[in-house]
Amino acid sequence: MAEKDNSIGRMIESLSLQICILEAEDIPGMGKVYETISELEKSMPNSPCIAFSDIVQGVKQYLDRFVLNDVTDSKPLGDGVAMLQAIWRDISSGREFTFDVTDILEGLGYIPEDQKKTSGKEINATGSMEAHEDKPEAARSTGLTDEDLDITRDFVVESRGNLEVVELNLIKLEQNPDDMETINAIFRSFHTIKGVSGFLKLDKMNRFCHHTESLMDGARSGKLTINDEVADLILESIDTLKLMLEEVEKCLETRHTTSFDLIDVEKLIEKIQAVHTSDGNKIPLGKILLDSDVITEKGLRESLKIQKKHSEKKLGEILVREQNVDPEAIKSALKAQTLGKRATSLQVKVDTEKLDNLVDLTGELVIAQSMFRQLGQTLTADNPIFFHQLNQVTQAVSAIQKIAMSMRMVPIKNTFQKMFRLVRDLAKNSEKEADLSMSGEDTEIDRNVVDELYEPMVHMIRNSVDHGLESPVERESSGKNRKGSIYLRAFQRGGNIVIEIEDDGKGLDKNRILEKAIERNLITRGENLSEKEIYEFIMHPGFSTAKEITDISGRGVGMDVVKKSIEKLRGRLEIHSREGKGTVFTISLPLTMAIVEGMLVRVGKERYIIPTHSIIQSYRPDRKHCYTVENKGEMVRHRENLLPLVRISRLFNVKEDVTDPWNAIVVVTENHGVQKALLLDELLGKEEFVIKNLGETFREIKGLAGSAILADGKVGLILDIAGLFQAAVA
Amino acid sequence: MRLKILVVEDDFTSRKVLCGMLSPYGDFDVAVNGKEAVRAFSDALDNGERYDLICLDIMMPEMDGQDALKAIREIELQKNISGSESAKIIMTTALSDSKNLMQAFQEQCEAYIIKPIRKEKLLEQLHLLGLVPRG
Repeated sequence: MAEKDNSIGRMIESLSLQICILEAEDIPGMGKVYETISELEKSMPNSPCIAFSDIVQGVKQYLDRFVLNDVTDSKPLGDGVAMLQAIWRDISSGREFTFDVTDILEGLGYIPEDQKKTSGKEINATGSMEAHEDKPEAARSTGLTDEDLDITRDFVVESRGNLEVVELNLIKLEQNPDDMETINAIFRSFHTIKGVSGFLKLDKMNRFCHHTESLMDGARSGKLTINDEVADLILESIDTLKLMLEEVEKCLETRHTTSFDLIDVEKLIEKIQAVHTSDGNKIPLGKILLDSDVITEKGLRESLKIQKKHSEKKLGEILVREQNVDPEAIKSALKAQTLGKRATSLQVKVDTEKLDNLVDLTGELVIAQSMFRQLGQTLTADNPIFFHQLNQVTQAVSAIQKIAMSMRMVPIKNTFQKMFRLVRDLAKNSEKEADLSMSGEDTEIDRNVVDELYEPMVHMIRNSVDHGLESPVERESSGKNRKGSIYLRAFQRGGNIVIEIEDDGKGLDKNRILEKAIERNLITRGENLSEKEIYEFIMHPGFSTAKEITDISGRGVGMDVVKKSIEKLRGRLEIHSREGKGTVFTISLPLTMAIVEGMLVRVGKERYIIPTHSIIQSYRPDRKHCYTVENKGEMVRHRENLLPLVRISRLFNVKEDVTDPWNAIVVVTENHGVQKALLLDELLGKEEFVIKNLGETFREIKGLAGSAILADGKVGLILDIAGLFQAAVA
Repeated sequence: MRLKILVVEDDFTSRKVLCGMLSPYGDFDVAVNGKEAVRAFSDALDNGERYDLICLDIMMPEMDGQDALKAIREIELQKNISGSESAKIIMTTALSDSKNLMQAFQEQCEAYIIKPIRKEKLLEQLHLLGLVPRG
């Protein structure tokens, strides 16, 4: 880099020399200058500052005219290059460049890109009409007078107050988005900041405020609705302005104006402009009403005609008056219009592979960071500064991790919405009537999970419509609404995403399930089973209670597949049913697939991770509470129950340090309502682990869900409790 | 297109200077205090006309520029004039204290120029307000 800097410095030097000796009609000399400047341009694809590239462009253009003999004065060229030298000196010594280059550019006759469109014919600004002498130009751009200083100080204080008021007003607007007075107040605050910042020559701030102001102007004139997206933008703008004010305050001490080089407003401005223009795309009110069958096409056409004549009237008003449309329907359609807009929020498409990589790498970062912490503990156990710094790193890393995770989250809405069509088609096919309603569509869920979830959900909804809901006649005779209802719900509970599929159909027939189970030799007659255990049978492969096989379900594939795919997502499927009332399928899924919170435990030399959600309790049992029961093996007492004791050492064939349960540790774990006690040597602590899968070779090993790299760089195995229980029985 | 300008200024010299600077760009009415300014403004509205630009001094007899500004914006609000429709108001004053400056912007002036007024400065503001092409 330094070498490149040097060569640029040299180029500017030789440029200055070439221009010094340049005379009109010295074509070869001009050629040389042209060559050097092009080379300079090429060697700096990213210009260090706008002034620099403007001058380079200006010099180039002036040179063109010079070659054509349009101009004969080489002084502007010399001035330009001298300025380039000055800028370069500042940049390479790390100083901020603060000179005004407008004069130079003017001399070169160059109009910077961003001012081009506004430039018209030249007006001689330095006329004789000057009333008085003003302070010299330079003082304005490099330093502030006492008076400016006072104003600036007040400006910072006042603007902060203004911005706080805007924040408050925004909250007010959220409740009442059309409140003109509040919108006006926000507009005025931005206008004031814009005006004063312009007065103080805080150009970037002024320009930025101009955009926020016109955004609010759009809202004021009713062209733009303040929805969540716009509110977010305004809040973001407030934050940016606050940053700028801070910068201004800092510069007060040095009496310099600031150019806010470190604050990027362009992206935000782009966003603001996008919102501004995207608003034109809102779905016409008439179309929404038409789609929801509130109005007829003829009625709409007539109303639109009326609107054309009386342009001050809103379509909604006309519809209510002329077509007797329910005002509530208009209201909800207007709301839908805003919602539709929200869906067009600014997004960037990113390759999912990149996202997954990011999440993966963040995982590695978390690990590296905790390894570092451990190293720190051994190297410098009591250095507070070290740990203070490390804590900051930890905070940043965990924030990054959260963001990385959240980037993989998508609302479940799309999956849910696909079900509308499905329910409609299914009901039609089976000559039933069904209504689908949903809540929590905005619940976010890991994108990898969403895809995997679609199929099981289709299966379950099929089941609900086909087996759950009765025919309209049946329903009426049992006193229910002809139309059956299916509810889809999604919400977060603890560390889980819960999805419920509920129908108000006839519920599961316990006796039929039992019969079928006996028929298929799954149980023997007379066995006493809990309700839960009975329902579990319908998730058994090839199990179907449907009397006749229909087009869509009842072929005996279904619930077992559902169960498997949900377990693959480390989720749980529960069934609750009441005869005659309906059935609820509850899927609980972990929030994210990439991280598991677990207890790190040791057995001999190996370390394992037990997912926290399946841990009930860990304790050291009394000697008298350990039994060996015939046919069932070792058991320990946990509260009032006897639980089978599972020796992890035996399952995975490692050597345990402690063989007697009363000297070791027992961890009670639960899966699907079954509890078992795991025997191990030591508990090492609770942590979050980034899951790495075991790869193809080890995929089939029962009882292992994956692996994680531990803080010391070694590998720990994550236990899969469901698989472990099965392996323990076998 | 020539601008329709209202110059509100009680001092003869200042008025002369200002009018001289603005003469290439438009035609102007003159008011010598805030009260006259507000009347001129509302009269124009009643006649279906609008001022493209109002240059408003602050220290004036009868009604000062700040109050006039407030009154003018009040009228606009009542008549539902907003955004690009509303009058562009530039404060032209010798008062350079921050209180006056803040207040004027809070009351929605478009720009604030401190006397002595330089042609360049004035033109720059006119340009920024989109009233004249860049000079």
